Amino acid sequence: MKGSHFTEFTIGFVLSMFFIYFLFVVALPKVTKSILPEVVRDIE
Amino acid sequence: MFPSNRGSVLLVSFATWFFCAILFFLLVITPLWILAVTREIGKLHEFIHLNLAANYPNPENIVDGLKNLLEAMGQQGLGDANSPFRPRLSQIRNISVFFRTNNDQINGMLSGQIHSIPFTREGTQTDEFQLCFYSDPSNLNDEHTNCGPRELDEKYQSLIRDSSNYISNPIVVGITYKPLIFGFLEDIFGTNKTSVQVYYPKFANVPTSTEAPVLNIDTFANYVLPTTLNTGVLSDANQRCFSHVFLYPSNFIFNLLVLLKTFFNFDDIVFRKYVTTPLGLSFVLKIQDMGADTYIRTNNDPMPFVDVEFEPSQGVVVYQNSNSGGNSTFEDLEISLQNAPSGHTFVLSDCFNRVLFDRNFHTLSLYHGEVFEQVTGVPPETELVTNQTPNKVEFSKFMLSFLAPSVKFWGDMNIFNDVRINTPDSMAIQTLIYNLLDGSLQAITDQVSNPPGDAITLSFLFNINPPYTSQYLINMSGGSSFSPSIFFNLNYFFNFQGQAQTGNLKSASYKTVSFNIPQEPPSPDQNNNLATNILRTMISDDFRNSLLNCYEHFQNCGPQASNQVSWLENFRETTERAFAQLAMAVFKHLTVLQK
Repeated sequence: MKGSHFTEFTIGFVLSMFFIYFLFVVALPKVTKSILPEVVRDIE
Repeated sequence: MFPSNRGSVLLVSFATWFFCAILFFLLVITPLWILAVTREIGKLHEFIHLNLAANYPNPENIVDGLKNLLEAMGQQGLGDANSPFRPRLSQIRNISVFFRTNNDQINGMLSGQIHSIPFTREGTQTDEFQLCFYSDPSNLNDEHTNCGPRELDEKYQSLIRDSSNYISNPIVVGITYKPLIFGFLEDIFGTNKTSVQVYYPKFANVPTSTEAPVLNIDTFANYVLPTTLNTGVLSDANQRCFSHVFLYPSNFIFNLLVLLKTFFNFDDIVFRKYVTTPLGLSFVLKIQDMGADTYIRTNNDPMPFVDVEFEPSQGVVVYQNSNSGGNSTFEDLEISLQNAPSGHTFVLSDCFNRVLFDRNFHTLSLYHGEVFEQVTGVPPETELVTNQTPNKVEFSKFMLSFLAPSVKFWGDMNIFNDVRINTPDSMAIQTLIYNLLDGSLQAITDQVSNPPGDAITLSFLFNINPPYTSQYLINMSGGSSFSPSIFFNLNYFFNFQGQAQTGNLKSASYKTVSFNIPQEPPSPDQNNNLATNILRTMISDDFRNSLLNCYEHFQNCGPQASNQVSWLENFRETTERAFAQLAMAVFKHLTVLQK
């Protein structure tokens, strides 16, 4: 359908999910562990 | 207004989905996770509490018992294995037990003990967490031990100190754990979750102080749970079993959960706030802004200390705002609880806005499990009896309470609201009395296998719930307005102790009968004597005097109190009949036993 932008919404969905996964599962834990090794070691 | 080029659309789409995902995460996943994890933590609290109660006051047993418990948990894991939110033992950093008694020797033995409990993480990796004991609140923040819930603030410590003023043997259990999903956030903020509960051993002294702070429930919850965790219970819709305990982080989350429940029409999930009365203590429960659906119920139905209406169909005592049309609110309904039995759990519906606890709030800690499983509900009178029994621990293990079926009066009420039994064969005795009160005397057979010479102690809590409730109060107040003050003033006359203590409510009392199973088969006369003794104990003079006081009071009120006089007559007759039935059943049981 003209102007529905279905493809863009789909791509946006996939990208956002990937971004969330990367942000919360991959990147942030690594960053925090590198920044705060003492805390992480203490916690784990 | 909507972007037309493909790049802009893609950007808007990405942002929208991202926003929605975060929103979903916060609104759905977060509450579910909090529910699940805190529920499991609540279970751990429960395990520890039961262990403490069973081994108190022997410090060595406490240490060994907790070690064994935690080692077993380390092997078997914690919580429901099928739950994706199951907190792993690796998340628990340490368990800190603040333990202070009035026995310096015990304090010295326990304080400073740190035990490392090994466990296997993820099947292979060996780890350990620490079990720490303290007897000084200031040591809880000892950074050198890496064991105390160090984030506990001064407010929490002052709670411990205040508690120590009221009661000499508080036990505070703090569990510090690392949340699973938000671990990285915890890393960022450098904090862990700590759930803390304050327990008081069943043999602790009853405080005598009359000065206590007035606490808002939120304040109190934050007070006890310094990480702003609140307390609550998740029960199934039929209210039969409070099988899940969870801590939720704030009233915001709690309200959010209620909102979600309402929105999705999850009728099978009921959220409750609830409190548990401390041992034999009195406090005033003030409830403000009661909405139309507000109710109070207990799992010791009916609730004996408050003005309630009965909901026989569900077996649930419900207070409903029916007197005023169901829409208005009651303000500052004050419920006086005097000498409430320990472990009596009051469940407050989630539409309570504020609950104030005044005077002797003490534990108000959360339990889970049915009341039968609680080992803290030992009335003082029963304690005295149990001191004569050879093994207190055994007693606590066999301490049961259950809801006996209603003995029908004029109106719906229970007199056998709570029956506590101490016997080596307590389940059988429980069944025995249950059958008795159920009118199934034929079912009383040789269910009990106590050997001759064993001690049997029956302790009954009689709760007097006259059929006044709303109808009576309306009559007395001369209008449709609710007047709780009249209710409580009248409760004075139901003081089983027969003591004129204005302002004190003693609507319930424990009566204890202790006897030994005869070594030899009793003769009919002996049986009769036993039954008579039981009957006399149950219907003691002070009980009769209390009834007499009631009589006199209502008779002085003239014809308008004829209903009350009628009720008292009925009550006395029914009570005595019930007691007689009970006595009959006991000695009949003994007769069967001797055959």
